[in-house]
Amino acid sequence: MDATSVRCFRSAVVSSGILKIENIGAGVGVILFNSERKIAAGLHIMAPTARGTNVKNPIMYADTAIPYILDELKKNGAGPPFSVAIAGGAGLLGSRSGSDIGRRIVEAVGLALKSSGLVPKIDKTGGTQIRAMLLDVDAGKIKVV
Amino acid sequence: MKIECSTCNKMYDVPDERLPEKQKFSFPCPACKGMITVDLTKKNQGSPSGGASKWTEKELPKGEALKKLILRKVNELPAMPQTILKARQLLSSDKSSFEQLAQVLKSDQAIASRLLKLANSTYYGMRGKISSLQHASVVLGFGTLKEIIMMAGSSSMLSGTLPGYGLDTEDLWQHSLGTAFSAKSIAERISPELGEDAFVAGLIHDCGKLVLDEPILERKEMFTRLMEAGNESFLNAEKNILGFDHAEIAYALCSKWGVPETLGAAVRYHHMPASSRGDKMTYIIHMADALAMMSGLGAGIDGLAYEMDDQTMTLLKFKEDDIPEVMEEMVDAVMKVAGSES
Repeated sequence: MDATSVRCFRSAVVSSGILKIENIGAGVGVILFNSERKIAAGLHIMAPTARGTNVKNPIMYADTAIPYILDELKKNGAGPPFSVAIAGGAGLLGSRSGSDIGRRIVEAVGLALKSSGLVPKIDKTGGTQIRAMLLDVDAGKIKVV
Repeated sequence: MKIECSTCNKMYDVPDERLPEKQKFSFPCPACKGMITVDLTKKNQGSPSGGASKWTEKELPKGEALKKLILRKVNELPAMPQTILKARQLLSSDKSSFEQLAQVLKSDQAIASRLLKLANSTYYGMRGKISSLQHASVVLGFGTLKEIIMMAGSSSMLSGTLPGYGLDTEDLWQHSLGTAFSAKSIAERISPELGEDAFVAGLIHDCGKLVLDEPILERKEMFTRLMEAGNESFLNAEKNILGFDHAEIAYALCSKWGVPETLGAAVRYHHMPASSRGDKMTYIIHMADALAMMSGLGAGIDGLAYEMDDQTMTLLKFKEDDIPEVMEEMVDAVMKVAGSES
């Protein structure tokens, strides 16, 4: 079975096989799945908001990544409803500055999803552990560890 | 067990049941015909099956006995290739010539061939165009050549599996590369003169894990129990259970390898930079390591369970907005360099 792996700062839209987002640390992995059309998108976001900066890579920021991927799904013929899963947003211990960026990415992803009318069904975020997401597009089954 | 040919670097996956137990044996590499020697009398080289401890928790060595065992392992670990140390000395001296450097590098074919592969990686933008060491030095310059020589010398040492830390083949190598590239990038923003040394310190900062992996594997349940609460740092867990943390052991290895004290100190305190009395290099490695962990590159069971020093960002004049950009550059560099070796 074909497997598509999505690394940091990247996204992918697939219509069959396995969609994987591995090694999710402070960043947030997002999987959107239209089970009727069997089309899924995976993205690995690494920053909260673009704050009006000149965005070279829309997948980097939560507030640009979500509209971008919804547009990509639309181009591939997939609109709502989507099942949504998010994972990641880990942080280092006892930190205040910089390294709690994970928590802020999670919040920004939540807001971006909400403003597109989406709510995650699966949410495994926070803590200090590295996470991974795996969607079997054909079977419609998702695993988040 | 994964076995690497030291001549052509080809990896072979040999089923454990086909390996003779506790023996040293050699066989010709099917690809390059060079001799591959595997020493299974030393437990550390093998045990890739990730097997559980033969000891019960009660029987495992503790306290001073464990410390002695760990320090003995520091001495057993192979020395940093002499080729690398000599090449670095030559590159640091104004009096040395390219001929001398080429002579040293050519004496170790494995390193010379790895060096050419790295020089031709997409990261340096010269894919397939560099045909010799001389060509590499002319096109890339001595600064970049130093960086590549260091990577060529440490990649095989840092590329194995570390089942105790839950690290698969290449995981530690990718994390080390990530830390090295971020350290260079951070140094170039605030103290460009520290860039080359920051790269080297970043590359070797976690070498202590090579020594502590086996004792951790033998005590995996103890580590799991201690880490379950979720607020304990892995460094404290190492100290509490083993009596040492991996940064202390890395410092011991740096001393053994003749790594300059300035770099050794940065490696020693990379998880507690406040103990370095404000040493900029130590804070650079601390920040770079944090970025590599946050990116998830080559992370193991310790994940992000380390403390971040709150002064770091201020001391390095590092803004939160800089983080994604440095991380993107780092991930891109690691993918291009690590990809060139496979």
